[in-house]
Amino acid sequence: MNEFFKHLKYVLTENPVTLIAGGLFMTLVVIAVFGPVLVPYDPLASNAALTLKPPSWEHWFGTDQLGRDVFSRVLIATRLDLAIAVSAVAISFIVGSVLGSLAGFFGGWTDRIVGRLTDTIMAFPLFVLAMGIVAAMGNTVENIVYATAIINLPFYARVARTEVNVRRNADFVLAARLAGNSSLRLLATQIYPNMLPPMMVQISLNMGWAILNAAGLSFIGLGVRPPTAEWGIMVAEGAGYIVSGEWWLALFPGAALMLAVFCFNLLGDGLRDLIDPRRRT
Amino acid sequence: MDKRIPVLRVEDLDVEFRTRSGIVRALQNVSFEVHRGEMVGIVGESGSGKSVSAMTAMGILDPAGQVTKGAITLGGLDVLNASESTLQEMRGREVSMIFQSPRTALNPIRTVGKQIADVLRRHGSATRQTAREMAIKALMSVRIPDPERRHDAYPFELSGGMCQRIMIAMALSCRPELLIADEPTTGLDVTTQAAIMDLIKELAVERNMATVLITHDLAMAADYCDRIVVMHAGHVIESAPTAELFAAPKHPYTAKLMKATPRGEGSLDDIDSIAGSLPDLRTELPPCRFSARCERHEDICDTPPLAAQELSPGHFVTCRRPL
Repeated sequence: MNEFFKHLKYVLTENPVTLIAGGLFMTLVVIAVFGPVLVPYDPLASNAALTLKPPSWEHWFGTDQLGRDVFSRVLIATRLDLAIAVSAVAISFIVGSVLGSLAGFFGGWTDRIVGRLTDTIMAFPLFVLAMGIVAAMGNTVENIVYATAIINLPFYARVARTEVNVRRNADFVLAARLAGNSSLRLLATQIYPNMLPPMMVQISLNMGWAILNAAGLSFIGLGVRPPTAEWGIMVAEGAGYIVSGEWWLALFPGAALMLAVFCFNLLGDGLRDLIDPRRRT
Repeated sequence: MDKRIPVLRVEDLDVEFRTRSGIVRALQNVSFEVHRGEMVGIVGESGSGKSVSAMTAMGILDPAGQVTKGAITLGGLDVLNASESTLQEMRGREVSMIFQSPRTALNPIRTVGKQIADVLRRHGSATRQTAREMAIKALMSVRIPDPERRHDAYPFELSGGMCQRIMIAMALSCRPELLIADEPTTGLDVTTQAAIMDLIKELAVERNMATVLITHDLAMAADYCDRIVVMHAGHVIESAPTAELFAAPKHPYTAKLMKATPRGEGSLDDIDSIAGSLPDLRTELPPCRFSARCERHEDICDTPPLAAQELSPGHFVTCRRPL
């Protein structure tokens, strides 16, 4: 464990981009965990006397059409948005990488079935597919998670399939087979861990997409419903006020969204460096 | 012939590969035996069937390959009819294998100690607590300096020779009866080659282990092996005790092969080459697959069947017109 932290420190200090991304990520996590304690106002409390006030010392990000504090709402929304993205990515990573590994390792029919399944998913415009899934299954947060997981599944399955396939006949796999390991054991203990570094990059990029996707669904009115604080809804609600000059309603949740996606996109390389022992030099 | 029970016995083995362009008859009537405490060299050109024989003996044959005839007995076990789980028990415990390019034969993202411990734990001779200690002992047995520190090293941090030592430590950790070394020194520099071969020989003698050395380096086989099996195009063409084989090769191919081996003395002009190349194993071939390249070829060579004959005790040759 000590070794791990030493390496973490090395990875963070070696690459300034990773340091920035790591810092942003930690901030997001802290906000997500402690959001309710940090907010200055109740994110749901409306105040008819304070509607559409521009940013000020009392209300850093201004107030919305119901007089709710935008800063508090942006902070509170972090937890929901991250939770959706993390669970969706976790599901698609686990299911996708297992399916992809089996396809890459056993080939033949397994490969064909998994391949056609991912092709079918990829054939749809992914956002439209997600809309369809949420519309058909019902308008809930869980369904947003499932929809996001399903549309991301093919990317994991494909990366996993390729990574496993190139290593299936590697010498070290043969060596492990000659030491008396069964096929599934080879896959689980020898090949799968080798595929994690490239998968980490995929996970991190995917987190960004998943956040955008969840926000996008809420933006068009699917999934999370008002008055819940969520970046996509806030941007959607604020969009109507931009023309009349109340820019802060949409800008701040939009900026939060952008920062989160930015952070995850940058984090990928760092995560890979963290997990790949070949970087420990 | 030796009356003891051999550790490995391959009898009349035929292996075919189904490929897009026809059936490749990779092995035909391959027979050889390896006894306890003995090092047997299998020599031959690339594609002569050396590695396929070894892989088949371990019960690992490419799915495209098929054993059509013959039997393999390894430590009393009928390899060709054993279940996959029996074979898995056997591999690593009864028989181990090391092969060329040691760098790629180790998992790049696990420490070498863990990889040795994997084998030990797979065959139940170590628990989580004792694994580290036993792995370090295994590293010591292959003369790795500073084994405590090397235990936690990753393969990319070690030299090729060091990686091969670790492969040997892994292969021998469960004290197998038989070690198959498939070109163990290819890709290593000459001094390291000698050191690795010395180590294998030493450990084999110390543990009274049967060893199969697969190589195309006749000089190396001569230095280390007790007996040599010469293969050509999927046939065993000659097998004899090393000294006898080198003193009086009986098969024209063996003789040619020896002339083609640099021996350290004389000039390069003294080295003969063997005309032609391996025949296409997809086509119908005469009983002697060397006949097209053989200077002693006569009509009698084309009449089947061609069987191995014992010219002197332990010296077998598969040729109608031996030297």
